[in-house]
Amino acid sequence: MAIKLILFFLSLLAPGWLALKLFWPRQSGGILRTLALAYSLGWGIITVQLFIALFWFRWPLGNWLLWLFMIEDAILLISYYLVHKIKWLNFKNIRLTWLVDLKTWRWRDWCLLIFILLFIGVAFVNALTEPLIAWDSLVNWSLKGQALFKHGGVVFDANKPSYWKVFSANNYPWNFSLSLAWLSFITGRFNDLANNLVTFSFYLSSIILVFNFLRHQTERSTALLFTFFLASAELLVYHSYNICGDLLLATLALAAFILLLEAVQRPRTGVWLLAGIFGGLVTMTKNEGIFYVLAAIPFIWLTASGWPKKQLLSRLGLYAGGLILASGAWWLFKLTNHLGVTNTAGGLVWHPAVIKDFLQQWFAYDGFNIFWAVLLLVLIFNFGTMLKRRLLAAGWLYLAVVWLGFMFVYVCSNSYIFVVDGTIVLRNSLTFFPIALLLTALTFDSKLLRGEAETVEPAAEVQSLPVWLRAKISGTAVLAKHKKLLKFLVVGTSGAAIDFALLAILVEIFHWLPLVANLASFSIAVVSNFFLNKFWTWRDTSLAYRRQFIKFFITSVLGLGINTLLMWLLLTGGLYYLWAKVIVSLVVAVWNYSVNNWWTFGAGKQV
Amino acid sequence: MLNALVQTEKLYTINFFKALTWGDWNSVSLLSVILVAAWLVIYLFHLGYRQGRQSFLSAAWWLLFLLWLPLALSSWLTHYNLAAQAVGQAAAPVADKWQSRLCQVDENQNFGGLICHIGSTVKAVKERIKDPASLCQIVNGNAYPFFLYGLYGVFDMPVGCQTADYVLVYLSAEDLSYFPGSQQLTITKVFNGATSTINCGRFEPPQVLGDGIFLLKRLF
Repeated sequence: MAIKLILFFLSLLAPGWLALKLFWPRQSGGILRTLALAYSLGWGIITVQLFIALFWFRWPLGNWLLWLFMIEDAILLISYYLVHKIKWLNFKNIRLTWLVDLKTWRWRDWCLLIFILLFIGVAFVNALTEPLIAWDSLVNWSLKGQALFKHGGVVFDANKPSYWKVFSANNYPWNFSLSLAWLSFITGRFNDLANNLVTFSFYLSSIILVFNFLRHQTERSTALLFTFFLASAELLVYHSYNICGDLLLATLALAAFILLLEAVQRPRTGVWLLAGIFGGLVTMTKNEGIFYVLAAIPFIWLTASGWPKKQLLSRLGLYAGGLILASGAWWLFKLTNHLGVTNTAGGLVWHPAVIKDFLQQWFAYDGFNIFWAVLLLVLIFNFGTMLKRRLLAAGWLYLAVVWLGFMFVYVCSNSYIFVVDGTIVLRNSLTFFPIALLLTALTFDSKLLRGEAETVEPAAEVQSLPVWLRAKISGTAVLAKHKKLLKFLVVGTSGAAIDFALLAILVEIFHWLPLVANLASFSIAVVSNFFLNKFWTWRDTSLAYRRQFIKFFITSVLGLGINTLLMWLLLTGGLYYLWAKVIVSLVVAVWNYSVNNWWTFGAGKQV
Repeated sequence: MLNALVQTEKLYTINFFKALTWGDWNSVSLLSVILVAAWLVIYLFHLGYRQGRQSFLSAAWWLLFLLWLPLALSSWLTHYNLAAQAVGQAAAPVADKWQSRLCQVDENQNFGGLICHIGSTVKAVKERIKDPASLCQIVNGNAYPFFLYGLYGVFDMPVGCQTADYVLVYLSAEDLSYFPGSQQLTITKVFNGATSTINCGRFEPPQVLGDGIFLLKRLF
């Protein structure tokens, strides 16, 4: 069994490694990153071919596939030699750089490494011993793999009980199930525990990719801390031994994102193609993967806008070529079999009521520990700095587009309507969790921001950007002009969050009267706003606390009065309350900002 | 059609672990509130005393680490307990491990035995039917995919019961009737207010596998 398992993993690693070396021969990530990327890429290469063979040509699983893959490996090897003229596989370049500097590690680095290894260890033991149990593991992924293995291929006869369309989520891409069938074919039997190793390897790959990337871009202790966050996120660990497409999608999307970063930083033909291939694999893993491809459009636009048009077009062509290579067969199959784009048939709907469940899922379940709170804090407190770095801003824009894509599905379609009040948001969030974690770490403590990165941003200069964007991204005149206002808005948002959270806590948990609780939460939010605005927004270090606070408090209370009055007026006029709230908030923000700027913190006196 | 099944939220992955709470407090929310408050304090302190960014980062690093740790350790212990338990039965067949996990989930989610008996029923069915056969299941909707998964490798699993060699009945919510005289098995369904009766054919008297669990063999 062990030898057969090794053969299976070799059948994935070999084409992945060779293709990676062929298209990106001089990558500088060390052997662990190469292995992590090779595993994901190899998994994609094999499953795409299995899909074409079993679904398009309706061929059966057989030894011929093993021979075919071995011939392909040989072709890749020869191509590598011919193209790069490098002897053998250039093993001299294999490095474990992060191990080399172990002597400089501090005790807290060691602690974190041990924690990370403890999680990997416990996940590995569970992968080897725990059979599948979750509904989605069984029905959406494993059962289809079992069916493909049992019948030696796909059953296309609609009268047979195992007809491929009777399976749950048949509209999902079949890659994952195909890889399970391939594993079963090589080992000779369908085995839950062996299947777990496929997802465990993706879990391990995601940890390696995150640490490897952050090691170059942040302080080591920060890289280790955020890698620890990833390795210990409960949902991620659980899926490492309970197979799930979300974990695969998370790792592939992470790899696609890292390659995209690499492609725009150090443009190389092969890397653009690989980025496209990984993007395609993302859409071949789950339907939601399409958001990650859509998010790449603004990302590329923002980061590559300085390039000559011809160069940009050729790189986009390579990216699109990679996308088609990896996912063209699946999308064509979907089209010809009328499978539709979404997971379930249906159209657009509008049910914003589900939004209330989302907050609970992000901020009250243990699945990601306290990560989403960390993300918000880091983002809010580094918003201005983040905007100054184009690559970082583009990264957050990428994440925002993915997030909005999911929001659109939940709120505007009935794709997930049957589970949207459950934990679907939490489970889907797993897919963008590693990317969100990467961006949070970079924003928290980035060498990029301090100009110390080992790989610095190259290429396009700020001058090549559109004017409005230039101002936003480069921190020039327009941003400087509105910097104070932006900070004020950020502080206002944090104050509103404190106000709402405290109100809810005092009423729900401590059972205070809502009116009394409102008074307390409002007062504490005002205090928080005052200090943040004093020290951060207006950079005021004077000791006139009492006078300034009284002015600030009066301004806030008057703002509250304006707020209430305007709300009453607009509601009486028949305006929808949420629209009314938006208008009122804008008016009150302008009031507060103006008065505080000219009166409380005395800017007016200086003019 | 399997697609038509109602998927039970409680059987999704994330629900298998009970969230850590301290009294009425959800631990994630509590730690998040502490994080925000402590972050603000540290930030204001650094602003007030004009400490450098590096000093703030160092303090924030420790804050993130220390507030992350409680849930991480709790999560690790959960995974560790599962692993320790599984290692204890390492030599046992996968089917037995599956059975054990199903019962754990059943207990965690208060299913009252609905999920727990699936493993032993799958085992019993495999023991009683040795020859290749088709088997259809008339089971509680929540248990349907588990049986499908457990039995799929051995049997053909048609959706309707009119042609299957065997019928497995497991805590079914449907109105089933077996007539000893005619040996007919019928299912009565109510859909959109209309009642319909499906005659599945003639079967041997049911073999009782448990409370509300039967296996019927078709008469040819």
